[in-house]
Amino acid sequence: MMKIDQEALTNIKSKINELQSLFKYGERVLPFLEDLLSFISEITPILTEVENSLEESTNKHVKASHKLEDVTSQTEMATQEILDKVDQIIMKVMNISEYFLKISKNSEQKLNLLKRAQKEFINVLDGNINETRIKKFIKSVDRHQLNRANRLGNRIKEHIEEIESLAMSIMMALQVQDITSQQLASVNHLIASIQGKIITLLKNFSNVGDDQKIILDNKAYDEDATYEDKHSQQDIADKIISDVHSASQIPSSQEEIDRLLDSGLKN
Amino acid sequence: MKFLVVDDSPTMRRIVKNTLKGLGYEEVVEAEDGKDALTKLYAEPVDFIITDWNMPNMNGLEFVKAVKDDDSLATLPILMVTTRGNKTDILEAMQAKVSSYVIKPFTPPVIKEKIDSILSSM
Repeated sequence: MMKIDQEALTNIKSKINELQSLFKYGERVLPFLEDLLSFISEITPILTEVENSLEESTNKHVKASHKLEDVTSQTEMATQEILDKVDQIIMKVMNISEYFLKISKNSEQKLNLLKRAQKEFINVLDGNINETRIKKFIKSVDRHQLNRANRLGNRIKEHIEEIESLAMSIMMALQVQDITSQQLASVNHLIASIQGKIITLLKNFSNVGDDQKIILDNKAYDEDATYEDKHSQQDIADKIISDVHSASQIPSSQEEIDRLLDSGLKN
Repeated sequence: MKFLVVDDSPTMRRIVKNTLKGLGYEEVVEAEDGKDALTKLYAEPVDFIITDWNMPNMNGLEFVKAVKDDDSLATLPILMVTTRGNKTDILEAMQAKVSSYVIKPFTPPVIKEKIDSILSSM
């Protein structure tokens, strides 16, 4: 009979006890683990939704940020255009002021001339005729000088017409207000949709956001509205219209529009 | 000649109105969207319509279709003035029978050219 090592037996017994404790612990921990697994399986779709929402929101944030940059740059562009025109108007107004001063000086000269002519005329009427003095006076009359006011008047008229045209250009540049307000409405829409996503996400975790509603204004907008490249865009539009008219292919349905876009008009 | 200018932006209405004034057209009726424009069209006759596309309540394209669907208004010339510049939009506007199409921001010569061309083809 094999001799049993008392020490080994004690060891085995101790290990069995440890295993027993481990199983008992396992029995206790198992429901918790089940709960944990169930929680993880429940939260995984939510986390995926969080990830997707964050990705979507990030993209929308970037888009909103770019649109705001567009608003800034296009406002800047229009402002520069307006300031250039205002500078030109100021220059022209200064020129007009100078011309008026010259006209006033010229009128004074004409008045003096008239006074001298009047004096000579009285002398002649009084029989005090001095041919040399009269000839000298006639020679001193500068016809060019007499016409100066007319020339200045014409220049003033030209300047006023140019100012009118510059004022019209300023008014046209102010179309930027309509364009940037559409860009801002588009940014507003993006921000509201991000806010909507966040509220939907928060509802997964608590009642937070229950009382929050996204209010979108009913401002209609073109998200591609731009202040730049105005001439070439109009040229393209004119070409499309002219091509369609010359080919007598005015579309009467969406299918025809699609067909035209797929054909030559695409390029 | 009386114009109806339809745009939800008061600034744009003013700009279009001043442009028309500069071209010698003094009589202008204003409307802030398609719905308002239809009401005004039925209240007083006009000779020419200039409309934006993006507007609340009834947009420009819906407005054009409503005008063209009404026999009493269908012959009115319509110039669309909009920021929408892609080909699909232009073709869609043509399908709705706009007389011509101007992309914002516009210049007075472009508006003049379009109005003259529409009027001469009538």
